[in-house]
Amino acid sequence: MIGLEITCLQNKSSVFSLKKDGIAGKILNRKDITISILLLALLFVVAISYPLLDFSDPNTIDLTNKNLAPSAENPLGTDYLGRDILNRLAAGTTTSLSIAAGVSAISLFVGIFIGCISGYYGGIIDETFSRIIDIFLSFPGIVFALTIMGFLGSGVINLILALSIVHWAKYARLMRGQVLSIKENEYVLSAKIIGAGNFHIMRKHLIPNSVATVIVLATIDIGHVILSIAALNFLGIGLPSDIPEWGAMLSAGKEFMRTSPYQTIFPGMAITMVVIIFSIIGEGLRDILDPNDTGGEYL
Amino acid sequence: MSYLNVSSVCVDFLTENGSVKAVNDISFEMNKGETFGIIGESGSGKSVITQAILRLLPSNAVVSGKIFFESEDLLSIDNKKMRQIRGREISLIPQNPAGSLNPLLKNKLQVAEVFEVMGVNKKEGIKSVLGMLKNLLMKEPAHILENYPHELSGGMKQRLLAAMCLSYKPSLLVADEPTKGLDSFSKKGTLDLFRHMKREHGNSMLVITHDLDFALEICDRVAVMYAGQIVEIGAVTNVLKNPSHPYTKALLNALPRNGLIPLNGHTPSRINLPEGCLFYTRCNLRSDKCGSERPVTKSNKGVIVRCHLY
Repeated sequence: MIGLEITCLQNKSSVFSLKKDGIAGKILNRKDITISILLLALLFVVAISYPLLDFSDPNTIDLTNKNLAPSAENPLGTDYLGRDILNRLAAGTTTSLSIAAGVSAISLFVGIFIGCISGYYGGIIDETFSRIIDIFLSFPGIVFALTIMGFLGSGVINLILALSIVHWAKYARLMRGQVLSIKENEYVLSAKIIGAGNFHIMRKHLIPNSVATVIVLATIDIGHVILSIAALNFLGIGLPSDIPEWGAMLSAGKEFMRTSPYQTIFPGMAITMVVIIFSIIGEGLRDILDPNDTGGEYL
Repeated sequence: MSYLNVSSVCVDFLTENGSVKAVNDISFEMNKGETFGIIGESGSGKSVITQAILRLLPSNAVVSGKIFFESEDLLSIDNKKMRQIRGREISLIPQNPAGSLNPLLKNKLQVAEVFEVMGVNKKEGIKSVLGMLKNLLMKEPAHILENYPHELSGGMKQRLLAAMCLSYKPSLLVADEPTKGLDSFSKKGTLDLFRHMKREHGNSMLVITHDLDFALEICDRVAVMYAGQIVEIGAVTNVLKNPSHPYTKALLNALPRNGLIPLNGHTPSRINLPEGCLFYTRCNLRSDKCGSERPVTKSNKGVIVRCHLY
């Protein structure tokens, strides 16, 4: 009996292996990644379409209908000012994803650039940049972001700046390490032999060959960025109060946790879900892009 | 003035354990159109010389001496000038063709890179490489350019690299161990390739190899290196048919057809060089003088040899 089962399993895996060609096939092979990507796509649709479609203002206050449980009219209930929670969550998706995208773009750009220069040139340039990276990494992220926000004041741009300042150093360090190993490759030497300049070598050889790892880290990190956004807003220092945001909703709802828990449960679920989605996709990408990965043995 | 003039070049690598004398007082000259070979065992400093000529040594290397190429002093010109000489004037076919192509770029783009760097029209450049590839006995060159490096065999990669190196018609071609890791069939292919390059393009070539038969076939003159020094230098037939230095003799005796007689012992530590001849401990013709006094180069029967015997 057991032998038969094993044969069945083997047959099944061989059927699966037929699908394994290219990155798309590898993604389809892993249900967790597929589901996460579908959910992420849904979030993106919400985030992009929300500002375009004409929903009612998420800031409309209706004190007669405050602290309501979910109902047909308010699918996720209303908060302490009678604002529709679903509406505010959807608006918060736009806020969180766009800020996270901005933070990732800026910190990736700066991190890749500085890491590449530092790793490639070495010597005093590397020492200088490495110490700067060390300084930035030595502060606990959220405290550092709080301090910067204290200087800059609240606002979308300031929040993006503050979180980018916190996050770039991680990418720079990883990129530096990658470049240190990639630059020893002989194709870099042959580029030098044909007389290529330093920037040409970085652009053509070093960055394309080392960027995959950094992008995987950035994907996992987007979840953390969103968590940081929520945390700063929970502490009341991120965005002005007229911009709906999950962390701020959580913070405002915590006073009504006993009487109307929906105000905290749903934003909390949203934050958790997004962080988990990005972690799964990031780690999945890491497995898939790993050239030493044989594929398949995920049980 | 000769074409390439290397005089009293020393290369030291600064390491934590002291400075390693990879190349120790090397001098040789090359004439235009000549194929000059440098032979010797692994670690004798052959590749370091090529990198010293192109100034591609790592930052912990200290180079002293003079290297003149035509009338340029290669060790003192600025980096910009050096970049213009690399590829245009002096080109190097690297030691490991497999590692020398960027795995992410299609071969066409790798080739185009050469012309991008040179500031030449890419399309015309690719056309000239296609012609070159056809010249280098390669079938379907257009098809090959559409592939990625991992889709080519070792010999094909080598030809592609050779085509890239030749495409800008450098006046000096440096080949670093072109037959390394190839089976005897591919070696023959490489030999044909080099003969072809010599005949068709008339390049001056500096060939680094430890393949004595290959050197015998392709080179006009050779230098034999041991522990960072040139021990014998002269016309290839003189050196390899009628060796003077005990080390050259030992190298030839180690060939399978000469009885595969191994050379005992190890090369001396390059951090603390012995006082006398560097080959003293392994030499079977040594005398007391060899242990205490470093021999200087002497002329003997048409070759220059560094040994107390002559």
